[in-house]
Amino acid sequence: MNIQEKENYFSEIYNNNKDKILRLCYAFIPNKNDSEDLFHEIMIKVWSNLDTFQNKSKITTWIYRISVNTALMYKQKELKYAFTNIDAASIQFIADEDHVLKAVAGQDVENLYKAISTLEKQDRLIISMQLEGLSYDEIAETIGISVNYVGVKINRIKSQLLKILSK
Amino acid sequence: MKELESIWSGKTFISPEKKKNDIVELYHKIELENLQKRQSRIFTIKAVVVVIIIFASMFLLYTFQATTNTTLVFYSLFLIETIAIFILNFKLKFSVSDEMYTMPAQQFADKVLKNLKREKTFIKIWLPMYVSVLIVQVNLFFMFSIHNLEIANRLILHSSFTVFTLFVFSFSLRRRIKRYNIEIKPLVDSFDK
Repeated sequence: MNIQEKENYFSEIYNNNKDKILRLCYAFIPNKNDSEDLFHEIMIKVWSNLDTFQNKSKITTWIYRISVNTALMYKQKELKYAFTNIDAASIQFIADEDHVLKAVAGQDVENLYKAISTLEKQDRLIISMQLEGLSYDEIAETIGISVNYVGVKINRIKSQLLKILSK
Repeated sequence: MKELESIWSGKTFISPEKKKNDIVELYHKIELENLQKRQSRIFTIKAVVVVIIIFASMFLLYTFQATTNTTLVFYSLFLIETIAIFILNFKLKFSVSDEMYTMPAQQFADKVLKNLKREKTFIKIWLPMYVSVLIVQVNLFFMFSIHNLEIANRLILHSSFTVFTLFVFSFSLRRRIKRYNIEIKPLVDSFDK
C-alpha cells in the first residue's frame, strides 16, 4: 500500500467510523477534551497499524479492538467522573418484564453517558459496542471472550446500569 | 434496548462538512506525534549509547595509561557494555508496541500485564544487580590500575566512585519507583482485576 492509498483508505475508515468511535470514547470518559484526546490516540494507532491489517477480521472489529485496547491503556489524570447531580425525575428508566432496559420520556443522552462512565472499564466498552449495534459474535471477537460470556456480561451490565439510573 | 440504542446514536459530534478539515487536522496531529515519538525514542537511545561510549572510552584511556594488563581491560569493558546493552534491550522489550493494540482485548490485557510486571522485576532485581556488578567491576579496575598510588589516594578513588554510583543509582531508582507508582501501578491494578 503506497502512501496515497493509505491516506485514502484511512479517510474512508475515518468517515465511516468516526461517530461510533467518538461515542465509545465519550461513554468511556464523558468529558469532551479527554474523550477527543482518546479518539485521537485511537486514530493514531489505526494509522500506525493500517499496513498490518490483513482482512482476517472485519475492519470494524479490527478498529474496535484498537479502540478498546487504547481506551484500556488511556492515562487519565482524573479517572473518576462521579455520577452526580442528575435530576432523578428527568431520568426514568424502568425495567420491563424481561429485565431489559427501557427508556421513557424525560431521559437525557448525557445522563446515559454519565451512567455508563461509572461502570468498570471493560463493561463501559462492552455496553458501548452493544448499543452501537454490534453482534455478540463481533463483541466476542473484539474482547477475546466466548459469545456466551458476552451474553452473560451484557445482562449483568444492563442490570447494573439500571440500578445506577434508578438511584 | 432499542430505545437506548436510539438515544445512544443520537449523540453526534461534528457536522459532515467539518469532517474534511478535521481529517487534515488529524493527519497533522498524527505526523507530529509520530515524529515526536520517534525523536524522543531516538534521543533516548542515542543518549544511552553516548554515555556508554564515553564511560567505556574514559576507562580505556585511563587504564591504558595506568596498567599494562590490557586483557583485563578489554574483558572488563566488554562485560560492562554487554550488561548495559542487555539492560537496554530488556527495557525496550517490555514497552507496549503499536502492533499489540490489534490483539483481542483479553489477550492484549494479559500481555500488557505481563510486560508491566516485568518493569517491577527490572526495578527490584535487574537494576540493583547491574549496579552491583558495575561497582565491583570498576573497583577491580582501580585495584589493578592504581596499585602504585598511596593507600589514602586509592581509598579516596574507590570510595568516591562507589558513593557517586550509589547516589546516581538511588536517584534513578527513586525516579523509576515514582513513575511506576503513578503511571504503571494503576494500570497493573486495573488489568489485574
